[in-house]
Amino acid sequence: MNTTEIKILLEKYYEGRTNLEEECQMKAYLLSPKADPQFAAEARMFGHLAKAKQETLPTAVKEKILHRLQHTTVLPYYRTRQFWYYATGIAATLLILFTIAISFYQQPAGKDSLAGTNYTRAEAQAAVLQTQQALAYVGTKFTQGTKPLKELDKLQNTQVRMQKLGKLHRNVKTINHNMDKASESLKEVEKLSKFKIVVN
Amino acid sequence: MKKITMIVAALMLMLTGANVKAQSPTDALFDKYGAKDGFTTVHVTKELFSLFAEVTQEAEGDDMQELNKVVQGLDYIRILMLEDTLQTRQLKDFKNELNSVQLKGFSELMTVNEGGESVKFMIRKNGKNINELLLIINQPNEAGFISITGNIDLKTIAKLSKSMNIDGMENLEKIK
Repeated sequence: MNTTEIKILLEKYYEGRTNLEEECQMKAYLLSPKADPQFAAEARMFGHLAKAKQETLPTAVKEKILHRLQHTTVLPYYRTRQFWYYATGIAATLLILFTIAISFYQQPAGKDSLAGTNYTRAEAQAAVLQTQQALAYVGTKFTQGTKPLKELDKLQNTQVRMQKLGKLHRNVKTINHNMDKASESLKEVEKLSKFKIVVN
Repeated sequence: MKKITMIVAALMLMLTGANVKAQSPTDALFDKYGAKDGFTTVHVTKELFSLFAEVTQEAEGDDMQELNKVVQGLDYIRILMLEDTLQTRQLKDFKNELNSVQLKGFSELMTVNEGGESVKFMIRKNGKNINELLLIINQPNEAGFISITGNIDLKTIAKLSKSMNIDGMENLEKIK
């Protein structure tokens, strides 16, 4: 074979168009001592491939692999991760649908409903009345319950006022007492003024 | 795939969580007796409270404004009353059940006794705020409760009752 033929065959080989016979011819040339040095790289590659073909696995490794293959347990589908992904997805979807259905079922439908709600004006007015009455009842009872406390507060306030009045009374008494004393002193001064004082 | 599953699960929790209502110890009683003969039930929701301003805009008076102010903070009002009944056994059983409700987290505010009627005020607090007010009503021929949840201002409610000039249990009889 000449170098041109080898080049054509190599090109076909890299493109995957060679048949077995052509490959054998090409390998035989490249691995022979007559091979042109320009094909040294290809010669090395085919040399490695030929060597690799001859290599065999050690028996111990072969046995180990076979043993593992024979004893590998195949998990049932329901225990696989893939199954749980799908199952969770389906369950979640069902739950969403269920929740939407329940919410829809719970909403009272009605005509003349107030904007953005499912309640009619009459229903809302009835609710106002009921709330008003319930709160009024609560308020009334609360006021009744706290009334004695307010009375107690009033009594305490009255006591404080009485104490203040007592103080005022005591002060008035003191003033009156002092006034009496002052008037007595004035009377004494008046008496003394009737006498003539003679100075030698 | 794993991320998508987690997002879907989180969404599910959010959706289902939105439908879960705050639990009150009286919920079981409300559900049990709600549809029975002789019982009157009222359930006013937050959504209805939000419509009060629209419905009462034509009505005049400060009491309506006060009412709107009070209800804006509320979550719901529930009333369950066993009306004037001749079935003494039914009344006795209901009263027993009402008195045996486990009121965990509640504290007694006061009891108002008047003319054979006893009204027990129970409150559940969160810090300084009252979250739930429960009135347990006992009368010789009637019994029931009023449960109010939300942000409750008792002083304003008391003021409201004065301005509306409503007194006594007879007003609750109108609630149907």
